[in-house]
Amino acid sequence: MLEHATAAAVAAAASGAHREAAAQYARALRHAGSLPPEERARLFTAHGDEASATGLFEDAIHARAEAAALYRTLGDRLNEGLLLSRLTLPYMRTGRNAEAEAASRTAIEILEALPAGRELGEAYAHQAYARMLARDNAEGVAWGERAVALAERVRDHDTLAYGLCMIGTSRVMAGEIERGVAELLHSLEVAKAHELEHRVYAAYGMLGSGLGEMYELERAERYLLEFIRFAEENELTPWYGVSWLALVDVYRGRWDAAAARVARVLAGPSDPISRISVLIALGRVRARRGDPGAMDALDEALELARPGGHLQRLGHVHAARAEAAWLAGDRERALAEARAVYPLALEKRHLWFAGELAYWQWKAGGLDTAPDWIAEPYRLQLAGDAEGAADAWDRRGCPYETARARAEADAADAAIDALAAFDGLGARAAATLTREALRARGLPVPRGPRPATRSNPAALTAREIEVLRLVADGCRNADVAQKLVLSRRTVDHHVSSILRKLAVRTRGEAAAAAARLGLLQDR
Amino acid sequence: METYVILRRGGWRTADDLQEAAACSAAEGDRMSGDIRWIRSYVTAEPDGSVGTVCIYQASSPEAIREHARAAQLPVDEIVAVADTVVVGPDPAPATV
Repeated sequence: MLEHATAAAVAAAASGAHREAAAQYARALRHAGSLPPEERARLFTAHGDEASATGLFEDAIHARAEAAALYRTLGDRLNEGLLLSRLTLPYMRTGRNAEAEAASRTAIEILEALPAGRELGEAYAHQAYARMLARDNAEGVAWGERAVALAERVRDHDTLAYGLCMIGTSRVMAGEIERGVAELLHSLEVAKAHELEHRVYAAYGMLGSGLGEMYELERAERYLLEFIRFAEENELTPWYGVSWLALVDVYRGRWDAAAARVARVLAGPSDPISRISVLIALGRVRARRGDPGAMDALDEALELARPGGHLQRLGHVHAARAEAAWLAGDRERALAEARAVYPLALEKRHLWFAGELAYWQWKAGGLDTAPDWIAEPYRLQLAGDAEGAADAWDRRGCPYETARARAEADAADAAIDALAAFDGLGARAAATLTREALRARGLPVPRGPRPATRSNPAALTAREIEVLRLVADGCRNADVAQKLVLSRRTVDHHVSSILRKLAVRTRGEAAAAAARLGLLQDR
Repeated sequence: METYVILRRGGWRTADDLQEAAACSAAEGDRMSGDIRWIRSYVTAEPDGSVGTVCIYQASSPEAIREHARAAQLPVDEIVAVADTVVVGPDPAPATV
């Protein structure tokens, strides 16, 4: 049983079937009580790697802690240090930062006492990961560089790709976008050349989410789509990419697409980090549309973000909450939400979170100035250049934010343009506020969006109308197929779609409906 | 499922237009039956002579209501969550849709 499960696990891991491998290792370990400790430690190590690769972080923590303890008993300091360092990632991903930090530091201490080898390089890279996640960007780069230097010396491609990925991500987060992207692409190249699947996955993920966090949305979207494609081809979890795409869709004004991705992630077996991202996306969309439930989504996001305490989640959640409060007319709450995490955003010098949090405080009357390094559109907005801010948003492909900035310009026609843009996006909350502001200024207020009375209320396609006209003329499906040079099957499909859309049962009723709708006239 | 009020003010020129839309809405509602349930509607006479609706739906989320509205080509002005229901008397005799 044990041998069979172990062999199945090894085979599954080799073929890239990580979920299957993790399950087989877990099965093998249930029967491993009689094995010598070296063997058990090896099984736990392998299980930890497969569990971590498939997002089963609790399992990864258990397996790696067991392996580290076994190696410690065996006096194998090298592997003890290595396994401790590998606890950093699953601890961080489950929000246990203090434990991650302790494991990482102890690992480095143990490994630095031994001759420098690939294990120490990997441990440096894990520490770089922890610093990157905490947005301690300079430290992320410094630890990444140590990892890369050692990895190059011992020719460890895996740690080389890992270290480059951490350096690149930290640079992107520090606003050194092009330099960071170059490091990330270098990491991707190394990972692809040596078929390091999880490093390819990580490089795409960091390119996508890093560029997303810096509002480089078009490039972010490209890499996120690559990430999802790669994940699906290699049986890795796509949720991180899908959840970031939902946010990118929100900021690009594609709210229906964002809502569809949100639904997909919330229905799937997603990890807390992906859930936080889609709940932020959902909260922003609901708040902007003036739909109910915005704060409910953002309450859950805050609950999930609190244990980690990281700026990248808390900054994002509180910015979204400040926006929702503002749009709901609650100035005090908008101010409190923005203030809650502004000092952390300043400490980490996060261009976008500091920018948005400063903006909401400024809107709510609780802040006069912000540092000049905040992201361009917010810097211009706070400096009183609303038109400049609108242009900066427009260059980034953010229609809602563009309209939001334009609505604050002094010129009445700018506000009226913004109102049309809000109505087009379905941004009812901002549209209402803009109408109130125009009224307060004594300016004429354009009326609300009036859904056009449709000449084709059944929403038939052009092809369906063509088919319907022939049906009304008495053609059988075979005749229609011949006349329109379509297959019989396609015509059958069109006819059933027409019946459904017209909510009728028979061809005769369809013909009557077509006549009533005026579809038989202009021929 | 939560209960929502959906305002569609002045969406149609005539009651006949609305009748067509209602048929479409019912068909889409059947397709999405796990996520949305149409409870009842009141047709509003708008000041400009057009007609609108105030609809009561049950739905899994506001997004499900919007998806249904998009598929059925219905306008949505506002979605409001229902906190409680107080039934005092029966509805007036409905016109069937």
